[in-house]
Amino acid sequence: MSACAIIPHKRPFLTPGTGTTNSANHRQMTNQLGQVLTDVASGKPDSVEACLRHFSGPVWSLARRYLRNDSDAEDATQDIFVELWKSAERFDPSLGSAMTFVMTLARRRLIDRNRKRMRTPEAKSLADAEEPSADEQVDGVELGDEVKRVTGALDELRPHQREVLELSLVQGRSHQQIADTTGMALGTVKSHARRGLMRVREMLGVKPPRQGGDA
Amino acid sequence: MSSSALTRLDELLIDDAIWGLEDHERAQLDNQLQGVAGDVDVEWQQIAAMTTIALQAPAVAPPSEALMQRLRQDAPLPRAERSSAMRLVLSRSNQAQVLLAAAILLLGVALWMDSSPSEQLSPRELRQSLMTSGTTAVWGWSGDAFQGDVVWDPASQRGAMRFVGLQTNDPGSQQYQLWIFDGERDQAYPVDGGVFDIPAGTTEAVIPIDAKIQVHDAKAFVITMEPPGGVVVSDRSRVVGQAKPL
Repeated sequence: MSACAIIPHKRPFLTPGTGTTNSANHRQMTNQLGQVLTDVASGKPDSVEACLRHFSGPVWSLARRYLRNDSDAEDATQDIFVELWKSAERFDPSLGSAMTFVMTLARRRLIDRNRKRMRTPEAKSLADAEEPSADEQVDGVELGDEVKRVTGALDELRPHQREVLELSLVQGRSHQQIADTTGMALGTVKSHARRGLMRVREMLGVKPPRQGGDA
Repeated sequence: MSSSALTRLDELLIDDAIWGLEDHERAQLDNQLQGVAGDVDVEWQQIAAMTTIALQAPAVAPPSEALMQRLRQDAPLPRAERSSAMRLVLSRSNQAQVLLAAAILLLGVALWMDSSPSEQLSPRELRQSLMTSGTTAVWGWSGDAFQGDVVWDPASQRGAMRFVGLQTNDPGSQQYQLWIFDGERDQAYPVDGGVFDIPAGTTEAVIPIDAKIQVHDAKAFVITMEPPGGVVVSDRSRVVGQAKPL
């Protein structure tokens, strides 16, 4: 069978900083992911499989880094997807991308699980997270417009701000653990995280909330 | 690089989004949020999630097949299966009032299912029903490696592919995936038509088409070979076949 000659071969997956794909393509990909959640909510056949195909990798990877234990990470991933099946109907594309919706949900679950585990006296020791080996990594996740802008904003952060955000958001380390690991003072860790995320927010152009009485 | 001064509310919102809060901090945040317009806490959660996605993107690993099976077991049933499950539950009830309600529900289900024929038809039956539709177009696979056709009804957004002689695949190492090129969409990103397998011993296979989003103007149907589960966007390094209008 001859190869199809409709479209020239191109690398479709986006990786941070490549900037090779236009915003219309981002939007289409984002719309496809949003449609997957909408289909899950409406019970469309095969939507579950599509949902798992798109979101299981990012959720599982985050759970594994947060919990540093494959068994716990599997349980957490299962919990997250049970919650996702129930809450898919709440997804509103006007408020953010489907990936952001899923990862917001996943992060809340993982933070709760991590905090409970740290309060438990017999909690397992926190060994270093195992990074996925090169041969099991997938090509990358779909980055919507909004996340692409975050990627640009991250490039503008001070190295310590980015480091603290990476350890906290991706590795699930507490501020105390980050202080122990990096040698930074606890207050410095918090300051870097707060200012880093504030900077990301500013670069996304989100306006500050209207406050009625500031402390 | 400048950054606005952080208020205590900002600090609490960011800390909550990144690490979660202790109970006393939560109470402080609730107090601070009084009089604040909008869902600022949700905004920060989303910014934290987006930042996580961006930072994590280069190193995402797929879960094991065993975990995928666990996730599938918890997943909601598709509509057609939900309906079947409902009928089973209702048939076991002995109470007259429930039976009356059941009869009404079954009538509704029957009417609904009548309007959704493909959800109770086998792939071959689906194909046959589509062939009788006045809006269905038929396409033929080009080339010599295998024969067959594609029937696609743009009105109902349903379709089926028929293959004769398409090579069997090992689902554990690779799967076929259908792509539908839509004349009204960017051609770099065809619509995902679903993954499928050709089991050993199959001489003729009929596969239903599962378009993930609406196809406005089908221009081409292309089959690629992809890793198990398929991909979001194919690199088209292994195109297996293309269908052209008959």
